[in-house]
Amino acid sequence: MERNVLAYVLVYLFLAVVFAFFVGPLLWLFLSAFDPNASPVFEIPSHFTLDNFKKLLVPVGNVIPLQWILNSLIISLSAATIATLVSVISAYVFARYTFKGQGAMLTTFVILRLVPPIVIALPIMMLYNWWGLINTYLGAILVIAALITPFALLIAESFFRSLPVEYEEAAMVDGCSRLGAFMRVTLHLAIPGITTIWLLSFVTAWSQFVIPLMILKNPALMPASVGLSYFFGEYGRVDYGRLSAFSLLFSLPVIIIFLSIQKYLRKGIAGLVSR
Amino acid sequence: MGSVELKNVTKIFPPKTVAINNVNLKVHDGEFFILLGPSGCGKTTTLRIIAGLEKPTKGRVYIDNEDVTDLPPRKRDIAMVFQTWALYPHMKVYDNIAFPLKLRKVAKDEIDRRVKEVAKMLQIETLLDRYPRQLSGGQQQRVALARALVRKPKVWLLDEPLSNLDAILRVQMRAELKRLQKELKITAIYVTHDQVEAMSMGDRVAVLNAGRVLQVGAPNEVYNKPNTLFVASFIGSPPMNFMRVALKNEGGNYALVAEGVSIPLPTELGKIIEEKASDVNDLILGVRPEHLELSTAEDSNIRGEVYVIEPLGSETILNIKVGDNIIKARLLKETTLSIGSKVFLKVSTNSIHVFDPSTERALF
Ligand SMILES: Nc1ncnc2c1ncn2[C@@H]1O[C@H](COP(=O)(O)OP(=O)(O)OP(=O)(O)O)[C@@H](O)[C@H]1O
Ligand SMILES: [Mg+2]
Repeated sequence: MERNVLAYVLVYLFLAVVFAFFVGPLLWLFLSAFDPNASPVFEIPSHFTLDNFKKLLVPVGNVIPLQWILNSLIISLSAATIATLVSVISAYVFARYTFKGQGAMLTTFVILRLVPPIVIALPIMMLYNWWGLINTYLGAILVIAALITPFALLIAESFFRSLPVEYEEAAMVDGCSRLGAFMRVTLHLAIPGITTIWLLSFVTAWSQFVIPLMILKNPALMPASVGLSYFFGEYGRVDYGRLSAFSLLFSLPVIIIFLSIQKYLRKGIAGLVSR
Repeated sequence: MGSVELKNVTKIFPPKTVAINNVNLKVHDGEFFILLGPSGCGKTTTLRIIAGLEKPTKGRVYIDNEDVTDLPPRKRDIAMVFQTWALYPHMKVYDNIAFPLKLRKVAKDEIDRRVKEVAKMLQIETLLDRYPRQLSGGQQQRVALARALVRKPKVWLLDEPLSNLDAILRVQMRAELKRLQKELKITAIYVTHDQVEAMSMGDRVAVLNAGRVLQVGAPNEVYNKPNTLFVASFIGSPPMNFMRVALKNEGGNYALVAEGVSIPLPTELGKIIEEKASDVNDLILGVRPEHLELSTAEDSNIRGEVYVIEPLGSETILNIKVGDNIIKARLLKETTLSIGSKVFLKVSTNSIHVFDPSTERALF
């Protein structure tokens, strides 16, 4: 009995520490975003203000900070969508057909996934110089999509394998072609999984730093992750209020997207786990 | 028109599961054909090969005398009930049933009429706007059946379509299904491991075991003339009794004998057995419980003592100890016998079966 109580106390203590570790910084971020005199010290603001957010409309250099958030949205939405499309289609082929070298190809994808992005940065820069993709959205979108795809493919492949093949077979007997069966049946059943994959891709793309830093030199095209560094002004002077407001906006899209597709996500993860 | 033919079809699942082994079958147009066999004998695999969901490792498949081995399912004009039903989880019952018609661009009101008609026949008309997950197993199974019956293809492939229904509903649905099939004259290939279902529904029955077709014939044929020990033991309930016997020949008078058994045989029969058996001193005698009747001591050809009595209302199953064997006799009357009492039985030589234990084949 006593040991039980002790165990509970320990577990809760542990959870509290973990919670503080994760929530502490976020709380500080939230408070300082609305604090007129934000400083690195953790304190409750004397009053709340939206001034920090208004400052995001004032250009830094010659770019309005909000533009960076917009850039992030453009790049991440496109990259996640491309990665999802490519990975879902190829994962379906991997899961439903057997062909020579299948295992080897999947292993290659895993290895691709394990290589740190910085390693392939140089060859990519050289190629892009050639193709004129430096300083374009398209350039950043393509590299980021390519980085995410192997991971997305692995998840998608295991998801399709966990979907019973019989629904598709029934559809083919009922009169569908293979493509028809995929479109009318499998795709519907895969919505939770595809949503999960898209979300994971989006989050990964959203927090990309190294690749956009190299490819997008023009401040007007930078995503928020890179733009953020512009707030650490010269001589180490930092406007903590503005930085926090920006960071808060930077985190918002991910949270909103997560909450809006949470329903599908939970099913998707359950699907992945039940395998 | 919808005949189906399998020629030398073998299916091997890698690495080396032989699911069906050199199967030859010819199902006639408009026939109600049964595939009967124990679990794992290859019934579902056979259906899936006919449907085009599985490619045979060897052999060819013909529908309507056309080689369809390389055609995808949708080009074979078949409808199928899956053993696992495979109802589309994201569609309501109505849309599940209507799906094959929609794909064929049937007019909306025609779809509606046919869906409701088949739903009524299968007693699921009140479930049409539910999702499959909101149905019981038996209900889901009837929806799966409805999805196949709503079309009029060349062939219906039905994989144990009634296995999940309660006894009363099952008997009703058997009759409905058979009536519909005869009315529309659509070839049906029906998988079951229930021999009663096979006997009561089939025009012809193929008995499968371990991936091979052992016997094909009308229900009374496989019942009366089983060609192997397996078919003999699989068909009939309670199953056929088997006893080790020897063939004795005393100056042209043949008889099958064992402890408690002495069955005189007509001379021709004795000769056939003598000629075909690999060892006349080691034979297996098969007698169905329903072919044993009580008799007087002098008329009897099997005798033993009562071991257990199972009264079943309309009939009584007697378990009788004959030599080292316990055999069952099915009596249509109540019995006054009691456990341990001597009992005399008689079987007509027309209803005995004799098998060669080394080949497991019937000798006549
Ligand atoms: N996809 C598969 N991969 C490997 N082996 C398989 C596969 N499908 C079936 N088998 C094997 O083939 C054999 C025949 O299986 P099948 O499903 O045709 O049996 P069945 O007669 O339908 O049995 P049941 O009455 O239990 O449904 C079995 O030994 C089974 O294990
Ligand atoms: Mg089966």
